[in-house]
Amino acid sequence: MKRILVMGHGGYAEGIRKNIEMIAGKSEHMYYMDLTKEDDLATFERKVNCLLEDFPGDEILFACDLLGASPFRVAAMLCADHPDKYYAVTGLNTMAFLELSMNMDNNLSIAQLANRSIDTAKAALARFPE
Amino acid sequence: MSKTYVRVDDRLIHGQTIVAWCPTLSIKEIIAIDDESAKNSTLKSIMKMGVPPSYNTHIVTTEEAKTLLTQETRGNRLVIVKYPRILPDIAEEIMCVESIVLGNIAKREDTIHKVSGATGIFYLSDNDVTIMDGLTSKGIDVFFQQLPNTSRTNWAAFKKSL
Repeated sequence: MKRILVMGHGGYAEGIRKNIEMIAGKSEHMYYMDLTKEDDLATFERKVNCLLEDFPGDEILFACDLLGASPFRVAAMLCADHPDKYYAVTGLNTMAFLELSMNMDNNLSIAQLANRSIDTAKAALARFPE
Repeated sequence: MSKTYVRVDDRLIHGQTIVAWCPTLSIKEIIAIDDESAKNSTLKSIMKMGVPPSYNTHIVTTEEAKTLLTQETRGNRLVIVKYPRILPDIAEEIMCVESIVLGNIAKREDTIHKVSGATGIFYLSDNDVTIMDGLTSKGIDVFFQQLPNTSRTNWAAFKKSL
């Protein structure tokens, strides 16, 4: 099974959860985890590992707020340990999260899902008037 | 002339450093010192992913850092260590730095002091305080500051609060 874990700083994940659930309702395969200013990286890593223990063998897409920042670092290290099963993306927006939440196309591999989420996020950027 | 700044931050290279401090201090070279990270090539490449290529970035052991710090550099330099206890090992090399900025450190077993800010917390042990006392007594400017635009608490003010 494919699962999405949203991770970020100080309420990012919780904010995305509220945002997505208001529009699309709850989704069984979406998980949310924030790094708080009290957490050190080891604590955060433990929380993530604790969650992932429940999903042995599953494919995971980490959606992190910021490239190079601490939540991303934790996700990327896990991806390095789980080649082809875990991927990380950064900087997704509501459109991309909605798609991940509502439309888990089972024909897509986790790598393709990662690519699609990035493409969708980019396509959702706009200016008005053009 | 190029300047060197030191930051103490247990997350080593991260968002606050890259997005805020490096542009503010006109940093060209980043020297992140952590023996464990320096020996892990995967972690090193992950940490460097978030750093724009315009910076000359090194993630090195303390020994490697000593060599780097004795070399001339063209632009300003930011040295990052995870904990104060690393500083005595590079004390000679950082004698002439502009300042030591205390950023974020999470709680550890022996940390009985805490300086809290809007964007992070810095926990210190008695040993950390002794180390920083030693550095300030040599004339190095030491202060707590998480971001360039947030409030600064200098070492003397912190000591008075103890």
